[in-house]
Amino acid sequence: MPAILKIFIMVAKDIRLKIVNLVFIWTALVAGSIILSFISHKSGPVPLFIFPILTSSFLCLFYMEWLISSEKEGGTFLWLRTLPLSDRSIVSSKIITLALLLAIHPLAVLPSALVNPVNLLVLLVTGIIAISLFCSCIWGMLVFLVLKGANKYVVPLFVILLLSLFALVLMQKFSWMPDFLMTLPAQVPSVILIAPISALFGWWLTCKYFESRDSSQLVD
Amino acid sequence: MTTSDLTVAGVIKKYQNFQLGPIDIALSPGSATGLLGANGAGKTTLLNCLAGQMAPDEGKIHWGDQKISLRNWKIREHLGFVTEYPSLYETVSAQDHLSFASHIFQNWDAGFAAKWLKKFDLPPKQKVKEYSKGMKVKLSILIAISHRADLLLLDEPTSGLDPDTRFEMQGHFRDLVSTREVCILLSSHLFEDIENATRDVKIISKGKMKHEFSLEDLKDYVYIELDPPEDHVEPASPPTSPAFTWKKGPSECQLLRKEEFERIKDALDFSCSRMARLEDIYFGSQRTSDSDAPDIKPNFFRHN
Repeated sequence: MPAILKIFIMVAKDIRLKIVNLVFIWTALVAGSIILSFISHKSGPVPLFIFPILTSSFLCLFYMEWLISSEKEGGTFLWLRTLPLSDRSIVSSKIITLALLLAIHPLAVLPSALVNPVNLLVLLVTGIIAISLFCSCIWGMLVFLVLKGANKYVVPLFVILLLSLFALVLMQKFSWMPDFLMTLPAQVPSVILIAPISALFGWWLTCKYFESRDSSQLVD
Repeated sequence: MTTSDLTVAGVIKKYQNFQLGPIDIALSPGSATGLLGANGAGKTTLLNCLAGQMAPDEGKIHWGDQKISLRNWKIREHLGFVTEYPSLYETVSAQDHLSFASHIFQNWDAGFAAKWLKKFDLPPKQKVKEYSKGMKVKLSILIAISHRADLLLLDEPTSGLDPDTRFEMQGHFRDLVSTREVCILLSSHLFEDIENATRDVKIISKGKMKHEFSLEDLKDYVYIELDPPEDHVEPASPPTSPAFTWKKGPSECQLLRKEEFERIKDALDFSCSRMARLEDIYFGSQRTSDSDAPDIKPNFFRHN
């Protein structure tokens, strides 16, 4: 079976494992964004700055927990490694799943895009990120999985969160910033910042950690 | 039917306070071999190396002409590896696991999987978290064999199972060897498992392969317990040339060749005698220090 199909099967497996939780989260997101779109109608775009940054950051954390830490703690990485799957396939499937889940996130805030059409840019950006990750897997670029577990993400995610907030503050403080950056809803900078930085963290850490490790070192 | 052999040549795995090996093993298709050893003897490390889950520091492991290693993931089409604590996804069912595995393995035998699912008496739609430990082990074994694995590596799979299930599993292992020509290497602490499910035995101690023999060879030996001589009295028994000698309380235990026992039994002052069992070899090998190495019999212990 072609490696790419195995990757898709792994992605389906990961989503299947957490489908109930995902449905709850997406429902909450849609509800939240609907409420926020009403609030922002009256009080300006401030809530839209905070909501997506927080949700993106924490969902990223949860998704990593589901995709990586639970496999480490449950020892299922060991089982996956007894199957005819390359390490690269396992890693790629995790990253594609993460990209897909993060890409669905802005879809959940689609109602706010109806209030402010600029939000549609979010879909475009996340789509591009997902497609890039997907292509990099097909073309054999080294995309690795962070196996250190979600706990290791807490600090990086807070750094990302702070950076995102700092960027937003800068955008509003300095008049030389282009107007379109100041008026953009926060999904765009948060997604633009979080996704590549997370991917870079993942790549860097996993380069150090994966492939050369014995399977017994991939469990907690 | 497979024609490949498992060949292990000079495998060494080093840790800070422990070294496995050098280990040399050759196993052929249709063979069932038991691996015995105390905790920390290196059984799991060896099996992990053989399953390509761990990279040895030295040496080579081949299945036929293919190297077994972490990087050579394609070799896993031929291997089945089951650990003591099966790692499965708790929130999904056996059917989900089998369906996932069937898409991953090229040679998945759906008919065989369905047949053995029934044989193992596993409810296909029940979530794995509701399974007992024995059921999880069975499911794990089922996944490991349904892709027509040629080599099945079992790391204490029956540990913690109730006697009924263990007995059942022993039968299944025998079935696999006889019907599918699978090469099985079974690690266990339980002599019964090894005796009932395998034909050859390897005893590993402190990272070294101490003894290799066939269970058939045991028939040539007799276990005796010699009474301790009374104080200041010359030993009553004539000198013997045992394969192993070890102490059990005040008594001295010996493994003697049957012919020798028959020849001198009238002169021996023993309290107990019976056919040699696997446990005798194991305890004998564990309690005999290297300095007073036993009289190694050719055809029995091929390794020391």
